[in-house]
Amino acid sequence: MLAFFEENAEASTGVQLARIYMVVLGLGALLLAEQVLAGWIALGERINVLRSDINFIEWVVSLAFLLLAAAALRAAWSLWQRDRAGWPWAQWVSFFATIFGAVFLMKALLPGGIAQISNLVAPPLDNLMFLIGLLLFVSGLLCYRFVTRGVQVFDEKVDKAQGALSTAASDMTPGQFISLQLAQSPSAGAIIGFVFIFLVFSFVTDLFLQPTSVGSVLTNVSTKGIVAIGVTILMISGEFDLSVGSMLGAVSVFYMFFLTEGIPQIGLGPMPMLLAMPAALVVAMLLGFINGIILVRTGIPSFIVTLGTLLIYRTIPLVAIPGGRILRYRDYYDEFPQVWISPWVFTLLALAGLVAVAYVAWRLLPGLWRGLQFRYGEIRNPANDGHFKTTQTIIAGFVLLVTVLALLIIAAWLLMVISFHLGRGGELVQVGFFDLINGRWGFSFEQVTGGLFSIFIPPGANFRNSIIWWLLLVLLFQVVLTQSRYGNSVFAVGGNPGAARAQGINVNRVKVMNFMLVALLVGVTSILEVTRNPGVDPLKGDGWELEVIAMTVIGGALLSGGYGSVIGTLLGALIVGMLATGLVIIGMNARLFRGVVGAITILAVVLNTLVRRQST
Amino acid sequence: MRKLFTVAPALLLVLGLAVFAIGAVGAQDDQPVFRIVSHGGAGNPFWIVVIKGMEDACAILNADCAWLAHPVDSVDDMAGYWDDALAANPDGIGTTVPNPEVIRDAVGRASEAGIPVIVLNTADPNSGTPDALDTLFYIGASEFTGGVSNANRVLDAADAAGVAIVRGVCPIQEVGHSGLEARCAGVRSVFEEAGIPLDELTINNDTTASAGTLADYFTANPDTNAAFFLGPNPSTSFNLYLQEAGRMPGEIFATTHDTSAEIYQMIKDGYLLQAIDQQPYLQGFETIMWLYLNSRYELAPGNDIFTGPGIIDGSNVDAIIELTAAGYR
Repeated sequence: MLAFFEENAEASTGVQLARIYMVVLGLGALLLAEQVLAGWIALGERINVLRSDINFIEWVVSLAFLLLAAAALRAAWSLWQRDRAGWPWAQWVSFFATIFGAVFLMKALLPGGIAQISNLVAPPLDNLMFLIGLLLFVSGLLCYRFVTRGVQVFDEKVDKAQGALSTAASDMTPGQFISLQLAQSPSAGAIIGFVFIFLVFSFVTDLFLQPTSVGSVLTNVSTKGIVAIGVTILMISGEFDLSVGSMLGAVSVFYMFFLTEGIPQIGLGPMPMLLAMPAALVVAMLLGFINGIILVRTGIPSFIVTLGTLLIYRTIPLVAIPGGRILRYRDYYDEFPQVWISPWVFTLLALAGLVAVAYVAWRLLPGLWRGLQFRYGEIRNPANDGHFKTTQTIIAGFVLLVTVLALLIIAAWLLMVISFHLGRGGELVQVGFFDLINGRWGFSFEQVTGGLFSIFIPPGANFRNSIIWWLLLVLLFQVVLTQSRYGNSVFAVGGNPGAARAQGINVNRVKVMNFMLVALLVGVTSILEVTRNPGVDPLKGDGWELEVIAMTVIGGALLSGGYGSVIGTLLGALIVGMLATGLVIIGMNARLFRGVVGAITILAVVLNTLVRRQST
Repeated sequence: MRKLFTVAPALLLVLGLAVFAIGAVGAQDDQPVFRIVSHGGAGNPFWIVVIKGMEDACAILNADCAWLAHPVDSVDDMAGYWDDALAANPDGIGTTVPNPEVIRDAVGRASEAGIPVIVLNTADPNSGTPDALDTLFYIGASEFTGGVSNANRVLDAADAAGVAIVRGVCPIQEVGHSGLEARCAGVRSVFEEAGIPLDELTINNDTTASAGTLADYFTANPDTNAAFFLGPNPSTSFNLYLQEAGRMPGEIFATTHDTSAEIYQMIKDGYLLQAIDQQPYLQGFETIMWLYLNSRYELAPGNDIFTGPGIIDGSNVDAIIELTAAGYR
C-alpha cells in the first residue's frame, strides 16, 4: 500500500478503507461533540443539573472530540492528496480513537467508580456509552495495527535504501515516539503514574477537577514538595536525610520564638519580622551542617547519622514548648502583623513585569514569525519528499497567535495593576505580613491587585502562595541541577565518587552543601507552615520524612545515587497529593491511604526500572 | 581491647553498688513508693496535667513517685517501663491499658508479688471477661459516654436552631487507638438510633495536612452539618479549615474532646458547642490516693471511678481558662 505514496499506483483496498474510516471517524467525532454540547450525552455528575448546563468534563470531552474530528478529516484529506504526512496522521488519529474508546468503556463499566464497587451494588450498564466506547476502541485498534504495520515496512525499506538514515519524528509510530520520550526521561514511572491517577480520579468523580479540590491538592502538597526538592538533590549525590521532619519541628519552634518571645535564656529578645525569617533559615542551615559534618568526619552511613538526628532534633520542640501544648501566635498578640507598602513598590514590580514581557516578546516573536513565513513557503514544496507541511504551517500560525494573545493579556493585567495603584494617589497598601508570605489567593491580595485576581478564585478554594514558592523553587533547582557546574558535580558525586574526586570535585564539600541545602528548604517550609496557621505544636513534621522520601522515589531518583530529577519529584509529590485528596473525595475508606501510596511507590519504581532497562 | 575486658567487670560492680546505694537511699524507711506506667508522657499536653495530679498527691503523702513512659507516645515501650516499675519494688502501680498483651506478663508478676495495680485513663478492653488483667479497678473517663454526650448535644442544638442534622463525620487522628474509636462509637450509637449516617474520616495530628483532608471531605459531602472531633490538634485543623473555607458559626454543629487554648476560643466564638473534658488531673491524683489507701488499709471502691465526661461549654469556659493556666484542667 505504500506504493501509493512512492509511485503513482492506484489506491489499494487498504488505503481505501483507511480513507473511509478517517472520514467516518471525523464525522462521528463531530457528531459526538455536538451531542455532548447539546446535552444529549451526559457526563460527570449531573444530579439536579439542567441539561443545558455544560460541566467541565463535558467541555473537555467535546473539545477533545472536535480536535479528533479535525485531525481525522485532515488525515483523510492527506490520504486522498497523496501527502505522505497522511500516514503518521492516520496513526495518531487511530491511536487516540483507541484511547478515547477505552476511556468511554471504562466510564460505562464503572459509572460510580471504586466507591460503587466497595458498596457491592452492580451499577446499571450505560448502553449508549458502552456502544460508543466499544466502536471507537475496536475500530481504532484495528486501524492502528494496519497503519502501523505499513509504516514499519516503510522504515525497513528506507533503512535498506539509504543506510542508517534516522527516521524523522513525524514518521515514528505513536508507540515508538512515546516509549522513546519516556526512555529519555528519568521519571517515566512518575509520568505514567501521574497520567493514570489523574485520569482515573477525573473520570470517577466530577469533584476532582473542581477548583476547591485542585487548590487542596496543590496547597497541601506544596510544602512537602519543597522539602522533597532538597531530598532529591541529596539523594542524587548518594545520601539520605531522615531528619527532615524533626528539623521542620525544630526550625518552626525557633521561628515562632524569634517572632514572639525571643530566647530569654541567651538574652535574645523578640526580633523584627523581617529579621526572624533569615534567623530561622540560619538555624536550619546550622542543623543541616551538623548532619553533613558528622557524615563526612565519621564516615557513618547517612541513614544512621540522620536517624540519630531525627531523634535529637525532635527533642528541641518537645523541650522548648512548655507542657507540649500548641504554641499559637495569638497567645502573644491579638492581631497578626501588618505591613504598609508603598504603592510605588507594586508599580515598579509591575513595570519590571512589563519589561520582562517586552523582552520575551522581543526574543520570541520574530523567530516565530520567520518560522511561520518559512513554513508557508514550504507548502507543497516538491523537495520535501511528499510531505505537504500544511498542518505545520497552521500550527505555527496558531502558536504565534496564542503567544501574542498571552503576552497581551499579561501586559494588560500589569497595566491595570499599575493604574489601580496610581489611581489611589500614593496611599500606602496594607497587607498582612503572613499573607504576604503564604496568603490565600484572591482574598489576601485584593489590596495589591485591585481585586482583579479574585475573579478566578471561587470562595472556598484554598490556593496559597506556597504553591508559587514551590513551583519557583522546582524551576530554580531543575536549572541548577541540569545546567550548572554544581549540578554536574552533584551527579558525579552520587554516580561515582572516585571518578568525581579524580576530576577535582571536593566530594565532602558537595555532600555537606547538599545537607545544608535540604535544611535551607526545610527552613523555608517551616516559615510557610508556621505562617499558614500561625502557631506550632511539638509534633510538627512528625512522619514527614517518609512521605517526602516516597515522593522522591516515585519521581525516579535512585537510592544508590547518581540518578533522578527535580521535575520527577514534582510529579511524585502531585501523585501523593492527588491520592490524598482523591481517595477522600471518592469516599474510599481513608484507612487504605497509606497502603495505596505504598503500592504506587513500588509500582512507579518498578516502571522506572523497566523503562530504564529498555532504553539501555 | 583486652584491657577493657578486664576492667569491665570491675566497672560494672562499682556501677551496680552505686545504683543499689542510691536505691537504698531513695527508698528510706517507711516512705511509700508508687509507679505509674503509661503510653504517653511529658511531650503531650494532655499527660502534663495527669502528671501534675500524681505529683500533687505524692507531695501530700510524702511518697516516692515516678511517671514511666515514652516522652511522646508508645504502647510497645510499656513492657520495658513495667520492668523498671517492678524493679523499684513499689507499694502500688498505676497503668494505662491501650494493649493488654504488651503488659500481661508484667501485671502477672505484680499480682504474684502482691503489688496492687490500678488502671487509669485507658481501660482494659477485656475487663469483665476471663481475659481481663488482674487489676483492682479503673479510674478514668468513659470515652463512650463522652461520645454519647457530644452526639446528644449536637442533636439538641440543631433542634433548637430548627435545623435537621443530615449527616455527621467523626475524624480520627490515630486510627486503631481504642479510646478514640470508643468516642466515635458513642456518637455512632446515638446517630444510629436517630437514623442519621455517620462518616468516618482518617486524619492525623498534623494540623495543616488535616485541614486539607477536612476540606476534601466537605467538598465531597457538602451536606454534612455535624462534626465530632476527638482532640486538640483535630480541633485546630477544624478551625483552620473554617477560616480557609470562610464558613460561619452555626453552619456545622461541632464538638470535641479534651482541651486547649484554641478549643476555648472556638467555644467562645461559637464554632464548637462543647468540649468533653475527662478531668485528667483527677486521674493522676486519685490513682495515687487509692494505691495508698489500698496498700495500707486494703480499701477499694465498689466500682470503677469515672472522672468524666466533664463538660466545658459557653457557660463555664471562662472559669476553666483560669484553672487551665494553673495546671489543673
